[in-house]
Amino acid sequence: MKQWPINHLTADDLDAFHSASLSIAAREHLDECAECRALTLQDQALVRVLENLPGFEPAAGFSDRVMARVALSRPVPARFRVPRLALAASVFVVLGASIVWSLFNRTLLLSWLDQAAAEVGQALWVGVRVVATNLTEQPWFAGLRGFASSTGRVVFAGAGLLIAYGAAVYALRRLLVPPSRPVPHADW
Amino acid sequence: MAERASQLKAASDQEVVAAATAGEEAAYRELVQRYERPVFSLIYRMVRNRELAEDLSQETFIKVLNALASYRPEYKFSSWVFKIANNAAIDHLRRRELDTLSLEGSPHADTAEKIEATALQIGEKAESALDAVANKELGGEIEQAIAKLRPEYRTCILLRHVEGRPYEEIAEILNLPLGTVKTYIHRARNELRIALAHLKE
Repeated sequence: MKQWPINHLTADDLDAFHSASLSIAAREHLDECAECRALTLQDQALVRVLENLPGFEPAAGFSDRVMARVALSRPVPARFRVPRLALAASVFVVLGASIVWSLFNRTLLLSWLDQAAAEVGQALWVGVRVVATNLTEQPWFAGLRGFASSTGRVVFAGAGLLIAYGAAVYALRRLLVPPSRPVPHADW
Repeated sequence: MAERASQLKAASDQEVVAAATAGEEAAYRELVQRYERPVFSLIYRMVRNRELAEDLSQETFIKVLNALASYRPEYKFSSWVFKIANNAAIDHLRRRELDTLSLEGSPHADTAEKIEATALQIGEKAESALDAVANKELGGEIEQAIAKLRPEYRTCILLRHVEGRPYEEIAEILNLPLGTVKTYIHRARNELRIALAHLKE
C-alpha cells in the first residue's frame, strides 16, 4: 500500500483556523491528526490570551502635556490663499517671457550686464580703498607695523595664538562630553 | 463646545485630521485622545519603562501633530501613527543596545571610571520605584515572554493580536513585505507557545 506524505497544517492554515475559514481539506486533516489538533488548540489559547491583554493608559493629563508642546497650524484666510497651480503657471509664464525677451534683445541685455558689472566692480574697489585708508589712519597702526617688522616676534605671537586656540578647542570638547551616568533631575 | 467635541468623537480619522489641519485645537486633542492608549501600550510593551514610554509617546504625538500638513489621506492615519510610534521605540532600543551591550563598558568611555559606570548598566539589578511598578504591571508570564521576543517580532505580534491590525496594515507600518510580516508573526507565536508550554490553560 502506498504511503502518502502527511500534510500537516501550515502557518496560513493556522490563520485560517483563527478566522474560521479553514479549507475542507485542512479541516479533514485536523479531524484525523492529533498533533495538529493540539497545535491549533495551543495557538488558539495563545491568541485569545494576547487579544485579552489589557491596554495601558499614560498618566493623567497626557493630552494636555502633548498639546502644550504642539505648534497649532493656523489656517490661511481664503483671500490670501493662492492656488498652487496658478502660482506655478505664473512663474512658468514669467520665466518663459523673460527667456524669449532676452533672446530678442541680446545686445541691450549685454550692455546692461556690462554696465552693472562695471558699477559693482567700482563700488567694491572704493570699498577696499576706504577700509585700507581707515586702517592706516588708526593710531595703533604704526605700532602694529613696527611689531610685524620683526619675524621672530610674528612667529612668537602666531604660536601664542595657536596655543590659545588649541586650549579653547580642548576646553569646549571637555564641556560637550555627555555624562557617563544618569544625572538626577537633569531633565528640567 | 461640548457638542463639537462629541461631533469630533463620532467623526472618522480623516475628518478629524481635516479639522486639525484647518487649525481646530479640539481636533488635535481628539486625535491624541483617540490614539494615546494604543500608542502608549505599544511603546510601553516595547521599552518596559513607564516614564520612558510616556516620553516616547509624547514625542510620537508631537511629531504626528506637527507634521499633519504632510499627512496623505490616502493612507490610514492609524498606520502613520503606529509607524512613528514604532520608530520611536525601535530607535530607543537601538540606542540603548549601543550604550549597554558591551560588557567592557560603552565604546565612548575613555577613562576607567567611565568604563566601570557604563559596564555596570548591563548587570544593574537595582530598580527604581517606577521600574518596580512597571515590572509588577508587566509581570505576567505572557508579558515576560513577549518581552523576550526580538523587537521586530514583538512589534508584529503586538500590532496583530493586541491591537488587532490586519497583516497588510502591519506591513505598511513596518515597511516590510507582507510575507515577512506573516513569518515574523508565526515565529513569534511559536516562540510564545514554547515559552508558555509549561502553563496549563
